[in-house]
Amino acid sequence: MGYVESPRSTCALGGALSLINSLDRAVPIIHAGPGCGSVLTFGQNLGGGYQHIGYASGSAAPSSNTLEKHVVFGGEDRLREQIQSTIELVDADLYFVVTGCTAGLIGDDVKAVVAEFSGKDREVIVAETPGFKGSTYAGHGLALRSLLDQVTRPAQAKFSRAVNLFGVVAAQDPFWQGNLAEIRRLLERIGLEVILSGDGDTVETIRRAAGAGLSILLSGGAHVSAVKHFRERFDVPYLRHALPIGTETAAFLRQVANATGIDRNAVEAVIADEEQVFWKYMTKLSEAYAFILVNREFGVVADSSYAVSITRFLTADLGLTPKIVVVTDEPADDERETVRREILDLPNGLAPTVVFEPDGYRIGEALRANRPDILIGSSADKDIARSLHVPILTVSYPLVDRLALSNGYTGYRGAVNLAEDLGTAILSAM
Amino acid sequence: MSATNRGVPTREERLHTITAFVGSGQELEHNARAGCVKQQDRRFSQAAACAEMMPLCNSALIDGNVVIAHSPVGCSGMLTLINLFNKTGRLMRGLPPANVRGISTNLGERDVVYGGADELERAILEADRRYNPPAITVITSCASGIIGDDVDALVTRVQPNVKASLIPIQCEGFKSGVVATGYDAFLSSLLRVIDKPKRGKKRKDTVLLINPLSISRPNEVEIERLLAKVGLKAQWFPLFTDFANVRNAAEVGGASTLCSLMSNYFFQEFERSFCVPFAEPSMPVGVEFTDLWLRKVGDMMGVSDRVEEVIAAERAAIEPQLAEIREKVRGKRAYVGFNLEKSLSLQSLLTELEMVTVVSTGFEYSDAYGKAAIENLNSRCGGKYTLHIGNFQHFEWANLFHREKPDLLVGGLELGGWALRQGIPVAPVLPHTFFLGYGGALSCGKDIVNSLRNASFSANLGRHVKLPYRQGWYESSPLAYIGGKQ
Repeated sequence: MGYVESPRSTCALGGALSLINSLDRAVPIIHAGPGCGSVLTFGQNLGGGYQHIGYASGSAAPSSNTLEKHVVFGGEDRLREQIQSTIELVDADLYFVVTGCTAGLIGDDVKAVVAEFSGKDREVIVAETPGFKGSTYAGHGLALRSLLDQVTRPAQAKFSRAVNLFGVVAAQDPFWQGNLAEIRRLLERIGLEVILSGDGDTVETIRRAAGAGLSILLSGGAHVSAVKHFRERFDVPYLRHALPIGTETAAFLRQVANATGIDRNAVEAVIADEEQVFWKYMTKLSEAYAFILVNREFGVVADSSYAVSITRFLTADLGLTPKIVVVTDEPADDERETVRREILDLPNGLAPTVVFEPDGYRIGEALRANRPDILIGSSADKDIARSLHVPILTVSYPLVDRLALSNGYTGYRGAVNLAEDLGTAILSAM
Repeated sequence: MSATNRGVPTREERLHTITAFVGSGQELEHNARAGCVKQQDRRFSQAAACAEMMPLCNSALIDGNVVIAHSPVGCSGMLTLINLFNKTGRLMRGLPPANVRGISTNLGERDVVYGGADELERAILEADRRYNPPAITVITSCASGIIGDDVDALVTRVQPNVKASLIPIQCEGFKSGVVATGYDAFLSSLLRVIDKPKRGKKRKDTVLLINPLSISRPNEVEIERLLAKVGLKAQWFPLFTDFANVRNAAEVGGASTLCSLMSNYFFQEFERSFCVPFAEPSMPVGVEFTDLWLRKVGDMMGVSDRVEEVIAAERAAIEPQLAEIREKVRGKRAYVGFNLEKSLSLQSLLTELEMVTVVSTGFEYSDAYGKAAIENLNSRCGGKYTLHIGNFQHFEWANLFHREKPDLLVGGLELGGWALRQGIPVAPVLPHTFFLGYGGALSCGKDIVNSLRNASFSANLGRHVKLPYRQGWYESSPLAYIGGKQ
């Protein structure tokens, strides 16, 4: 923790809202001050590439809007009234109460109030996510754990060839939908069923998620606790792999196949087919490569998942030289070595400077001290890129100079997108 | 929350501002006359606005200022979006591009137990070191308020150690459900850095004009043009202006505003401290309200005699083009969706274009700035339109969109996307739109004509979006949830 300039995340409540916005027919009931829901939506959804996401988000998100009287006398009655009226007015499958700082600090017994509504023919659940509990990632992890705890049912039968995807945070990863779609496409191609994907999950799929044979965690450390808890509770093992991009996808698919008992030959056939298409497009790139990409020394400013996978792709597939990698999502102390090791797992002994830093000003200092000649970062890094006369491709939050709809950067198709967008960034800066 | 530390009175306390009303313009006028406009709570409410939003967003746009949000990290989330206002605002004024400078003290679990004052002190010292800024504003939050961090005392203690002027703003989010309370907190916080004018330094021909973040440079240029015609100069305050122009704000001959909704408390305190007279006309949109604005400002500045000839000349100059626009939009039914001040002023323009306003919205209402404009409009267009007062509250907008099926929304960021998703085309009035004064009336009128050309996107989109409300809600009264117990 500690002060941070130009923050690259919202708060725990923002993370909880991000999770709810990624679900199908789920409505948040925000028990917090009157501004939280709006501030977080304006910040998060618009800051993630101007996306309108969520069944009832932004100005449509139910919120108890606690004022001074509730801070002084308690907000439980107001919350009860709000849950009641939300169920009456909003047609949803899941009513998800999430709390902000006021409820967290005055000590409303939110769980007790929510319990009054459960046990009926609808899901009314709660996650305590006051902003001071941490970043968007932390809140997303907390809310995910609450969701699985309160909605998932013990499995009647186990399906070894069914998996759950966890850890991609809607809008905080502006390309979350495109990224998940490609991972899902590839997993289905090797013969797996994806129960929970992180995009459009329904109450029905969340209920039967314990039937999966494997959880796949695609992010940094903020979701480890939720996924481990899910393993303990429902006996679903997990494997962790940063978002695969380019030929790293083969390693990812082999690892998943291994863990789910998919036939090795079938997987190799898929990999060969996908790689053939991938290299067809890389061949197409090769003319421009010689012109604009060759010998580039790149910098990455992104969260740990993107930092690992983008660095790997640009180094191992595109043959660029990693100069500096700034990890912005403040992994816990015991996580940092893992992230550092994953970033530095590169061919040809290449070893960029790795910095863990959320503060915009100090990120600028790090980039000045290790000047790259192409930067992959967020819109907040455009000033520094301009001052260093370095072209920049913006991919990470906050993303306000691009739209993010269906585009994605994972897998084989996403890798082609990334190479294409990177080249375009260089060309358009010329 | 110590008693000395409470900052400005809330709008609810000071002006009996309300945030819940659905009825006709006539009804609100009648209630206001009878003195029975009363706040009611909602049994169901949606994400609204808090007292912290405006201090954060506005102080980020004072040139060179660093804003520190003494809060968990999410409260400063809107800075991402404000950076866009900042970029376009700077570009239009020929200022070099630069990101807003915002720091969050990032209060965590440990801080809410042990207090966050030390972290705030570190952030202030570091902001001063990094940027050597003329000013640093420090914004409080729900969390800092509830845990009882005494920001005023800290600022007093730290001030001798930094070069920047420290400006604390007490604006805990839970203090008020009225967004304008935040404007009061923001603007009045600047009083402490305004200097007493030196003898002979008064600029009697200059009007201090408050510029809201949603009104962009082309509008300022139009106002400057009109003021120049009556021999006056404008000094914009406080956004996109050098901090020196904040300090010398009291040198002017008088003060006025482009949005009377936001300036009210500041002007009273400004006059008390510096004896600067003020005028608070409605936003100068359309012919009638621009006339009124010029008359009020002209009266205050002692140039009334020149105002009438300027009005006559401006009216004559735009009438032919206004008539052309009128031919194209006459009878079109509009839903006007902004804060009340902007909505009523745009409604005035629409009335001049012979359009029909079916709904006019406001995030809040108080007699102090709403009554005169509503009386004016009711006398001109009959008062049958629906007035919706709600601090956002999308479910009521959705009900009214469905009920009224307007031909278009004249609206901004808050309602624009929602109208499209309900199949209604949008005439946008955005932060970069030109809509003030006589020139703005033409420009805005042309925008409305253009927005009616091709409604394909909204029409198609509306068929594919399912809003989250039960079908029964659309058949209910939009008032149904106003009047909760809590």
